[in-house]
Amino acid sequence: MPIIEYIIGRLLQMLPVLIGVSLIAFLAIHLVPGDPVQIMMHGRATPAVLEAAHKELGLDRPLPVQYLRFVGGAIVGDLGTSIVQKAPVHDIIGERLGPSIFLLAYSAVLAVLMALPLAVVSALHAERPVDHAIRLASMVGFAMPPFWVGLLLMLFFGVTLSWFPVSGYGRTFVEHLWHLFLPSTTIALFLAPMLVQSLRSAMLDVMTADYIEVARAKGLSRRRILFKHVLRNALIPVITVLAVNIGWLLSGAVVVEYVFAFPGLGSLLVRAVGFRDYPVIQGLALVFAVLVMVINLLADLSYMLIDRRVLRE
Amino acid sequence: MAEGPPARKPAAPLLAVDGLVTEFRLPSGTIRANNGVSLSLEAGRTLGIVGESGSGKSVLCRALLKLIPSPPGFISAGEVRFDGRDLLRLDEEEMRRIRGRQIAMIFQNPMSGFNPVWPVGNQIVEGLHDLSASAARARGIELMRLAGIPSPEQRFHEYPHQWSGGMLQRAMIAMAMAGEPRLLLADEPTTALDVTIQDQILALLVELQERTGMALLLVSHDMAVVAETCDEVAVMYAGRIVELAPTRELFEQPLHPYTVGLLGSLPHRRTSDGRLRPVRGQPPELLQLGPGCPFAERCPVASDDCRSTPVALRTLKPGHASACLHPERIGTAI
Amino acid sequence: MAAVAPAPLAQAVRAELGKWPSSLRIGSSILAVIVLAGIFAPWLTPYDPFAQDLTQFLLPPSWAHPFGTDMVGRDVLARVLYGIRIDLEIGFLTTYVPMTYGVMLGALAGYFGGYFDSVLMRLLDIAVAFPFLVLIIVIIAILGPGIHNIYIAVFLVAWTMYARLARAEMLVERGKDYVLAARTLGYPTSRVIFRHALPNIINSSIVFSMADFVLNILLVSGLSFLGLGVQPPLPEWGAMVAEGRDFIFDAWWISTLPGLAIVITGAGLSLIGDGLAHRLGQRQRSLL
Repeated sequence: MPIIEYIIGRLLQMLPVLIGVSLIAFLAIHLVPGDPVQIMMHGRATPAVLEAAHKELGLDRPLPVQYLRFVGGAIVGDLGTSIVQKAPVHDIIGERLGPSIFLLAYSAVLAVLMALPLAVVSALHAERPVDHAIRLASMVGFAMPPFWVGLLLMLFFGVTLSWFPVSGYGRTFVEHLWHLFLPSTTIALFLAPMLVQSLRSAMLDVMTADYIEVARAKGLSRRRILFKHVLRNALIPVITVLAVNIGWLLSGAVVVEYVFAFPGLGSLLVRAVGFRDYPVIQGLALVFAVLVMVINLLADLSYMLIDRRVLRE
Repeated sequence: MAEGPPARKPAAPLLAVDGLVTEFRLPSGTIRANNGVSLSLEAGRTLGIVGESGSGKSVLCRALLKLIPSPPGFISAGEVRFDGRDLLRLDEEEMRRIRGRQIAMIFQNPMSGFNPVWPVGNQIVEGLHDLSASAARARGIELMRLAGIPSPEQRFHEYPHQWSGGMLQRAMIAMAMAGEPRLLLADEPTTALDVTIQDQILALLVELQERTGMALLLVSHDMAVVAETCDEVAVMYAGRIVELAPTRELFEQPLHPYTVGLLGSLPHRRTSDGRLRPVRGQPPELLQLGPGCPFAERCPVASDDCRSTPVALRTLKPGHASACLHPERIGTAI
Repeated sequence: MAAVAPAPLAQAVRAELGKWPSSLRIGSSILAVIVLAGIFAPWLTPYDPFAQDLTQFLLPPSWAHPFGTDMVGRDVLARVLYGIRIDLEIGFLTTYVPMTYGVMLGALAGYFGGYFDSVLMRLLDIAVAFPFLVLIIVIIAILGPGIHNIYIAVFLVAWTMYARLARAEMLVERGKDYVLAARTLGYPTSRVIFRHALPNIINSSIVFSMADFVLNILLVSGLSFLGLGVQPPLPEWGAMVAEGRDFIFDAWWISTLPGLAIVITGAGLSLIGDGLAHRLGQRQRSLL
């Protein structure tokens, strides 16, 4: 099966990147100027406490041994122990991973729902007033800081109108959708402008292709040409753009989670940096990188399902 | 069978184009890619259109189907009468029903004419909405067989990148035949293909035409292609038809110096040193046309009045028209 | 009659301006106004951006204080105006310093290929595996908060996108006739790369840099909002949004107006990027 081979090939390509990523995450604690434990404890640790903490973190061993233990632990899901919270990093991150992924998926869906109609209208009326208006709006949207948009949405829809809750996660799926509406909309408003621009220009490219003229000569309806030929082919470059920008989506999510006091990985990261909780920071760096790589892999797979030519290589 | 000029026959022809003007309104000025084109074509017959690239042949095909991208393109004058109806008066929805079902078109480059993300077979039968999936597949396989594509059952689900150019052009022909058109427009159908494949494709087109009785409009820049397949030939230059005649007569007694030049480009009419002789000079800039004959600058028999007098296509012999002011000079001077 | 011929330079400038698409004109006008307002901030407002006046706190916008006052009685307009200097300087440095060596590294890797290229590509793969903000935050966690550490963190990471762009362009450019010609003429390699090829591969980076400028302003103001970037009482826009956050229900202007300054600046830069993409004949690459 060429598809299986393709997936295995991609996984093998990810291996050196994973090693590099784990090295960076590992080194994070060792590059700290001064003693990380002292910094974590705000310089109030006694020598005995220091030694115990060093032992617990494994800082007393040679660097290569520490690295191998770090990677070995990460593979079996052991990311060490948070000094500040006195709990396994794996548990701290684990309970926040689900909400964060829910938030990201929700935001991506909302962003596509916003961007798709705008991009289609824009491309079908290229260089006409409605196109200029949409492009200007997307440039303004692109420049809006997510933390600021989050605050304003919170103020307007959460407090003034009281339509949506301004924090929390909820317990059921519907409650999740309800509670996450404002933060997801904030992230979607950050992502949608990039999608509108790239989908618009991809559609304009596709619309000049020979096979579109052939499709028109066949007497196909505009609707059919738009959906079966233009949009489907325009999705290919857009998936690439999305994958490249997935880092920005996650970056926006970090800030937005903080604004809405959302129990996710981003707010955890900000808090861990505040507490100098290095084991948590290391674990989060690793988890975020793996998240990006998994999303990129999924993007490649959907790319392959849309365009079989990829398999030829 | 007598070769009469179709326009003078009492029965209305299948296609009658009269004074068609297609313009492109660009920032630098307006280009008339078709400047008063008139021609007619009956069912079961083949009309060849020849000319250099940029002469307006491909624009003509697209104008007949109203596929001119607008803006900047506009069909600003003329009449395209198909089966008694003026296509230029139809709205987009009515025109859509003509495309594929009444008039089909095959394009120059089969490699880019298929959407890379769909199987070839699906694209061949895509225009047949009223058929069920299995009926459409059966019809597609039948069409592929008709177009000489081997083992169509297996190839139906293959993707365009798995096919050769020649096979894709056969698929393009199968796709055009799907709607059982009464008129087939073939825009340089063999130009992008290997020489060995070209003849097969032409033979296929002729065979399909004989079988279905459709009319065929064959556009080519290659005189040899036209000579093999067409009943009549129209020579286009700078957006106009400059000569129109039955194929044999055009080759034996051309009445326009540009036609003479094109015939000189034929491989079997080489000059004494054995080199191919192209038409001298460059095609004119369509933005800077003078009032007179557009070919005058390259013409070996042109006089001063050629540059100043507008010339129209006139019938010089039964069935043979030319837009040359001095057809009598041809043959002596060249 | 003595004809008053316009100076050649003025003529050239006018000719170039005539070719500008409207997005470029509008965008540059917006940016020019903002830059001038930043330069002339002391003349535009009588207030000191740091001067607290505890009798005048949380005042809504009025003639005396067009943008209102914040929780310690500082004039918000004065702080927004002085903030122009901070945000534009940070945005400019975090964009164009990494661009300089990013383009060079990418161009060299694309031109020479080989071992250097493979190492660079692996580094780029690792860098893009992290969300940009997360990587910056990790570096700040190591070095500690503050604007200098932000510079170090961004300089370490932000060049990768430019290296990628320049490398891809150089791979195409390397095979073109003029480069081959320059090589066969025996020009020194550095001359071939920097004098001949570089001007042809820089356009995509210039267009991208405008979007990057916007993203960097968002990034740094975001970090300041999180308390990891520019520290109070400096009037950085993101930090100002953060300061007003606790008062947003009573005094919306403290957070809203500095945020609006970010939006207007960013929209101006985006318009410039859009116009440059047209002017330089680049496909819309500004958001890629």
